Parts: sequence; C-alpha cells; structure tokens
Amino acid sequence: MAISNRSLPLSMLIPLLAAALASASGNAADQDSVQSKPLAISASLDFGQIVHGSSSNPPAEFNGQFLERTGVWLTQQATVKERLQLTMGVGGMFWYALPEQKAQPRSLITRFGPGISQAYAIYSFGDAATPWAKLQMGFFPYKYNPDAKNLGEYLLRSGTYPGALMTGGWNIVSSAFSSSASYMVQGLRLNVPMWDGRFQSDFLLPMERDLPPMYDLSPSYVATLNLFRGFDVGAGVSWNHGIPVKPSKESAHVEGNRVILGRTINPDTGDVVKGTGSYYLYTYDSTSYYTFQGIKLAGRFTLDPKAYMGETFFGPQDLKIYGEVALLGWKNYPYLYEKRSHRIPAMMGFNLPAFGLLDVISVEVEHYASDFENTIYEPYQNQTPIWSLEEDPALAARDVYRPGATPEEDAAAVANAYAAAQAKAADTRARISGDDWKWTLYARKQVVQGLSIYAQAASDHMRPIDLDLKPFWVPITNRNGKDWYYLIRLEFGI
Amino acid sequence: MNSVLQSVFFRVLLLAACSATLPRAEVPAIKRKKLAMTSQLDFGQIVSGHGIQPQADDVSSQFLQRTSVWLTQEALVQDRLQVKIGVGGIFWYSLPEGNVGGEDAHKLGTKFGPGISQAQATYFFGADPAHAALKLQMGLFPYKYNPEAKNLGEYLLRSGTYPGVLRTGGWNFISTAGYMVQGLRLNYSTWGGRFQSDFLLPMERDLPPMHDISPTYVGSLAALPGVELGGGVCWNHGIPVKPSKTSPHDIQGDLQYANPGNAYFVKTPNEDPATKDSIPYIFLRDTTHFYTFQGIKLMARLTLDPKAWLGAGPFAAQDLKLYGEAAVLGWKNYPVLYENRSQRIPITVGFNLPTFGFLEALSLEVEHYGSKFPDNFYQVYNNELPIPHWSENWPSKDTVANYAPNSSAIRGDDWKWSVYARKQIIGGIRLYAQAASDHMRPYEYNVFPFYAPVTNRNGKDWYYVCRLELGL
Repeated sequence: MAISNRSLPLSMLIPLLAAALASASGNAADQDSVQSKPLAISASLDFGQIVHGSSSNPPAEFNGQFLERTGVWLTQQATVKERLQLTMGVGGMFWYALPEQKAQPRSLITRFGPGISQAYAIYSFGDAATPWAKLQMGFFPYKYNPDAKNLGEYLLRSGTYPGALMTGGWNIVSSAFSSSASYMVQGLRLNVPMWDGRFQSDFLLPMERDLPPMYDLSPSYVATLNLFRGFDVGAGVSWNHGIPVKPSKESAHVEGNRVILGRTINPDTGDVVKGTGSYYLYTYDSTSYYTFQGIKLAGRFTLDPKAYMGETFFGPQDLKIYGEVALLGWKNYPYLYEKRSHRIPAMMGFNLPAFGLLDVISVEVEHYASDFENTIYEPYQNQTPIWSLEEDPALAARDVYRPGATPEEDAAAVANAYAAAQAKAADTRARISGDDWKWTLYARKQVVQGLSIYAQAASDHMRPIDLDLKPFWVPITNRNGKDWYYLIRLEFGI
Repeated sequence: MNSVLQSVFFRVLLLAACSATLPRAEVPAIKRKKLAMTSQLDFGQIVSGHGIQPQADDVSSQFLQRTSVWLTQEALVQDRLQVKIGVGGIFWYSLPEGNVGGEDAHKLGTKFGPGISQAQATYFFGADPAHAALKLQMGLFPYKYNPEAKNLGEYLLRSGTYPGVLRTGGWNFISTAGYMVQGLRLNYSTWGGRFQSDFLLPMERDLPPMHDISPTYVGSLAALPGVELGGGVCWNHGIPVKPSKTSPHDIQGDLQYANPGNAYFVKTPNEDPATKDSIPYIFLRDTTHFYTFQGIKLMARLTLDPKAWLGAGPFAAQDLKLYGEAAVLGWKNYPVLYENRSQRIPITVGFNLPTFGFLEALSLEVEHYGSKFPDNFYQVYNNELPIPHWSENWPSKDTVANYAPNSSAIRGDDWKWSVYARKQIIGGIRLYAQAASDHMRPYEYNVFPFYAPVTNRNGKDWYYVCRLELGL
C-alpha cells in the first residue's frame, strides 16, 4: 500500500475528531442523559411579485411575475449529557419555476423541493454552562452580522474571482426560522468567546456548495467585538477555495482561462482589433491562468444610539445603524481584476423607528462598482474563474448568409444582425454600469406568539430557479432605479 | 397594482383582526399533540382506460400502486392559535410505462414525490376560543363543504370555469372529494352552529393562470333534523395577479401548438352555394372580444338522512344518507364555446347503502355532466387559453375545425360513477376500496398530469383501487 504525503482528507478528519471528543468526555453516552426538546414546526407562505425585472442571459422578462412559495420545516433538537447539542431539520417547499413559458406546460405546474434545513452538532468544551470553546460541525446557518436582513454578509456568500454576489436563493426573506442574509456552512466552526463573551472568535472550515468548484475548503476567521455599550465591530478573512479537493479545477489551464493582458490594439490606427470569434481579440499571457482561489476580507459595525438614551419609547431594534464592507479578492490580476476598489461591496442599513408597532423596519443600501455584470455563468458553465466578456457584435453577422439569397439580401441580413448585436452589446454595457446600487426595505411584526408577518421590497441579487433547477446566471432585479420586487411572508410555527 | 392591493389588503385584514382580540399573555402556553403519522398503501388497476392526443396511450390493465407516509404535528398556542403542519411523500409510478425494448427504462423505476400535506394556522376569536363563533384559517389546508362526498362532487373549487374542466384524484386516489386551499378562510358559525358561513380567498395552484385569487362564499344550513342544505358562489380568478394572463388577447394563435387564439368565435351562415348544404355554418372570429378565465361558479347541495325521522334502528351512522350536488361552471354565456348554461352543470347524486355496521360506509355516486366539449385542459396548460380543446387537427384558426358535438368522444363521457367502501379493522388500521369511472388523470414521467381523464368512456372505462391505511 502506497503511503501518501497528502494531508488527511476531510472525510477522515470528522470521524477522528468525533472519536477524540467522545473519548475526552469519558464513558460512553448514557441513554438517560439525552434531553430532547419538543419537535419544532414551522411553515412559511410567501406571496409577492417581481414588479420589474429582466435577465440578460438567458434573455427573459419578468415584469409583473408573481412569486409564490410555501415551505414547511420540522426541526428536532436534543442535548446529550448537557454537552453535545444535536439539531436536525427537514422539510420542503412548494415553488414555481421561472420564467413561465408559453407552450411549456411544465413551467406552470407547482413543484416541490425537499431539503435539509440544518444537520449539526455543537460540542461544548470545559464547563457545559460556560464553555471556553464550542465546536459546531455539520450543516448549519452562519451569520456574523446579526442586523443584516437581506444585503451584506459578503465574506462567505460571494465569489472571489469572480466576485459574484448573491441574495435570496431558496429563502428570499429573513424570518425567525431562517435568515436570508446568512450563509449555510457545511463544515466546522470553532467558536472561542473571550472577555466575558464580548469578544467572539469563529474559526471556520466551510466546504463550498454554492459556486463551483465544489467541495473546496475555505478556511475563514471572523471576529466580533462588543467594543463598548451600543457599539459592535467585526472583521473577517476568508481564504476562498484555499484547500482545493482538485487543484486542477482551481485554475483550469484551458484556453478560455488564460490571463488577459488587454485587447489587441492596432499600432497604426490605435483601434481595437476585432476577432473572428465571439469576442474581441485579446492579448494573453499564455503561461498564466486566473484562479478561483483568493483572499476575501470583511469589516462591519453596528451602532445603537439607544444605549445612551435611557428609557425611551423606541423598540429594541429601532435606530440601529449598521454597515459592512468587503474586499472580494485581495490580489489584483490583469484586465479582469485590475482594481481592488472595484471589488468592494459596501452596505449600510438603518432600523427606522417603529415605536413597537412593528418589531423592526429596516432600510439597506449597497454599492458595488464592479466592472462586469454580476454573473455566475462562467463558473457554472465553463468552470473558469472569470467574468463574462463582452461579445463582438460582428459574431452575429457571421452566420446569417442563406443559400440562394441575393447579395443585397445578404447585406441586409448582415446589417440587421449587426445592429441587433450592437443593441445587445449596448444593453450589456448599460446593465454593467447601471447595476451598482441595490436597496432593501424590510419589516417584521409578530402578530401573536407563533404567528409573524414579514414584508420585503428590494432590488438585490435575487436569482430565481428555472425549469432545470438552475439559478439564473444574473440577478433579475439588476437595473438601478428600474427593477424591484416585493414579497410578503406569513410564518407560523413553534 | 392589483397584486399589490390584494397582498396588502388581506394581510392588513389579518393583522387588524388578530391584533383586535389579542390578549397580552404573560406566559406562553403551547400545547402539543402527539406527532400523528399515517401511511397509505394503494393497490389497484385501470381495468380499461386510455389517454387522448398527445397522450394517446392505452393504459388498460395498467396496475396502480402508491405508498405514502405523512407526519403531522399539531399544536395549540395560548388556547387560541392552532398550528398544524404535515410533511411526507409518496412512492409512485409514472404512466405510461414506456416501450419494451426501447429507451424508456427510466420510466419504469419507482419515483418519490415529497410534499406538504398541510401548513395551516387557525386563530379563534372571542372570549371563549374553545367555542369560537369566528375562526380565521390560513395557509395550505384541506377544505370540504360536502361532508358526504367521497369521490365525485365538490366542484365549486376543484374545477375550471372557462373551460369547465373537472378533476378528481390527483396525488390521492381515494377520498379525494375536497380541495387544498392555499389562502384564507373565515368561518362564522351562528344559530347554535347550525348555520356555517365560510368566506374563502383561495389562491389558484392547480389550473393556470396560477396565483389568481378566487373570492368564494360557502354556506351550510342544518335546516331540519336529517336535512342539510348548502350553497356557494365562487368568483373564479376574480382577483388576477396578472390580468393579461387571466383575460388574454391572443389574436394570432399558433397552429403549431393547436392554438387558435381566444378571440370570440362567431357562427355565421355559410353563403357559399357550393358547400352550404353540407356545411351550413362557418365560424369567423371577432377579434374585438376575447374569452376569459374569469367567471362565476355556483353550487348547491343537499343531504337527507331518513334515519333522523325513522330512527337509527339497525342502521349504522352513515347508512341511508342521500346526498346531491349541482354546480354551474360559469354563469355568463359566451358565443359558440359557452353558449348554453345547461351544458355547464355537473350534477352528482350519492347514496350510502346500508351496511348495518359491517362497513363504516358503502357509497354509490353518479354524476352527469353534459358538456359539449371534452374534459381536457390542453389549451389551459399548453397555450394558457380559456377555451376547451376539441380536436387534434387545427387546419385553420378561423373555423371550429373538426368539432363534432355528437361524436362519441364528446357525448360518450357525460356519465361518471364511483363505488366506495371503508372499514376500520382495529384502531390504527383501515381498509378502503374504490371502483370508479371518474376524472382521474395519472402522472407522466415528467410529473405532468394527463390532459384528459383516462377512464372517460361511458360504460367502458373504469378502475379500482384498494387502500391499506395505517396510522395514529
């Protein structure tokens, strides 16, 4: 049997760790020391509408499209010997594929998507009541910014190269039983509280499950400090795809992934040279390739001025101001990732005063001045860590020649095709420059115990799911000042 | 704007209603029932049946089998808010099974379809929630206005309007006479519970256009001992989320998809001397008027229990009940396609045969529906048009081509029947049996229902299913 120098694969690490924990705790678990909580049940009914929205790839219009989902989740929690907490949830959701298509009846029917909401264990080290550390393992929601409702939380729920942002997914609205502004970690989290809990450190080993290449580990660290009364700060770093399971997938050595040095310029005229393929002619460094791997950084704060006001008639969430900024990829690369300042999404939020009429009402605004459209096409379709490049309109004119057509007819066809492609290219450029700003308005109200209503209106990074269970490559409410949706959730459960 | 208003309107109503009577309980009190679990094993056969184009498969002698499991958790919060949530799934088999020796091996395999059986909350208003006269039910819940109907009937909600397609079965073969409402139901009980009013806002989830809201009222009156009356009205697709889908203006059509557009047909005398003897009428199009999905449905029902006057004697609780229901699927008439209201009235009559306690119920139901079009929702799903589907050939969209109102395909499906039996063996085990010629539409491999029922030919097509139900 060959002995490998490679590090232990994760598939062996977790059982070994579990065995170590079990032996550290002494005797085998006594059945009588298991305390089960009552089964928690929850249901959510979402109703809303894409008031204005569209997709560039694939092309689709969503104006007036109704949104509807019904979800149910069962969650069981148990504690073993006061030290090991187990939580498991299953359920599913009725949903509808988008877009609805004429003569495609399958696009109209109600669909059901079962799922696992969470499956994790938390082991407490030291005193079970006040552990010096906790190890969380499995599949669990992770949220480092407790105030973010929809935007933000970029450290983990984004790409690096390319820096695609995501919101929503299968859960569009944050609620008591599930948060949209969070990340589902599949892996490990070691939490170490210090300073009486005012300083929290999270060491994470999440496994990639959202953006290809899948299964890579991204070692991350997130710190939160309650600096002083009413003021929290946080920061984090993530080595995205830092431990790849298949290094050749991190940086595919294929023609489409060569580092671009720039568009080829005609030295005599100074014009950009057009190619015969899909794209403009580029100059490449054929010895270098882009990579998915990279360092992400994040910083955040929350300020609650009520901490200095004494008794007021404000609700506990009122007046909070919070913000977050991230850098998606510290290292610069030619052409696609040249400017670090263009890889910085920044979000600010404010909880408007609700005076107890609502639990919370928040406004969030985000700015992300990326040079490219927020698309996940290349990572999914070609598994390359690049943005989609602008197409050469001349491509459209290439294949419009018909046998038997007169030269005049061919010329007209070419001219029409070129004009259409130019319009498409102009539209793409407009989308790129017109998608820097995002916003969310969010409200929540517990009507009675067990019954809550949520409302959200936003222009964000929502990507609906299509008939093939694939998310749209580009967010559909992406054009500043034009596209937006609203959603209302009725949630009940115990 | 419609969608904004409708979403906001009934959310505000809910909020106001709940807040108005909310007592500020200091200590939360949650009473959980034990987790309920149910399993159903169905075995049966389509003795004779077939689909129609484009699903023209002979499914005669086809075996039917499904196995399902459902877990339901119920809880009561502060004695006022009842929450019920159920999940589970079904092992099932698609039809048709596919060609032997072909490339259809994947169609034979067992499939699993998970689902939500219910996700509902009911809020009880008033000082005494245990005897609340007013209840608000919300979420996804089963609704049944005719407690006696076993398989046929319950058409106020489980039918189309234009066109008036009927549905039975679906994912549940037996005891399916009911409707899964996704929306709200306000129940008001008066006269000591003898008069019940249900105000419903169900959201469409079965027949396109989806998501529209159909405001509905159903009243039930226990008029006399042994006599129960009911009536209802439904404004189907009354509040559309996208009016252009509920009332499309498709002039162009697309014959490639058998789409004639939905402009009015106009019956005009044929002036062509060469053909007028054989074709007395032609059908032109009025492109200024269009058929719509929106319409009013009405329902009336009656249950008689002669045991109330004769005494129970040796009869069991369900024996001798006679029940019936009639519905009007679309009050308003439209030219050509929906001209005659009497042809849009399904009528169901049922009778519980005496079993003297040997069975819990043994029912015979008969239905007549004299629609002059096939019970086929091809146009609804494929072309999103509120018109019937009457032909496989569409040479022209300006004529009602190949329409033969007296053909066997149309007249030969007016009658349906169902025999149903139920027996509890011991606590936790129940047997059911059903034989029927009804509106059952199996599911194809791509989880899409057949456009038309497969047991559709009078006196020819029928199936049977036996169910073993286990549960607590």
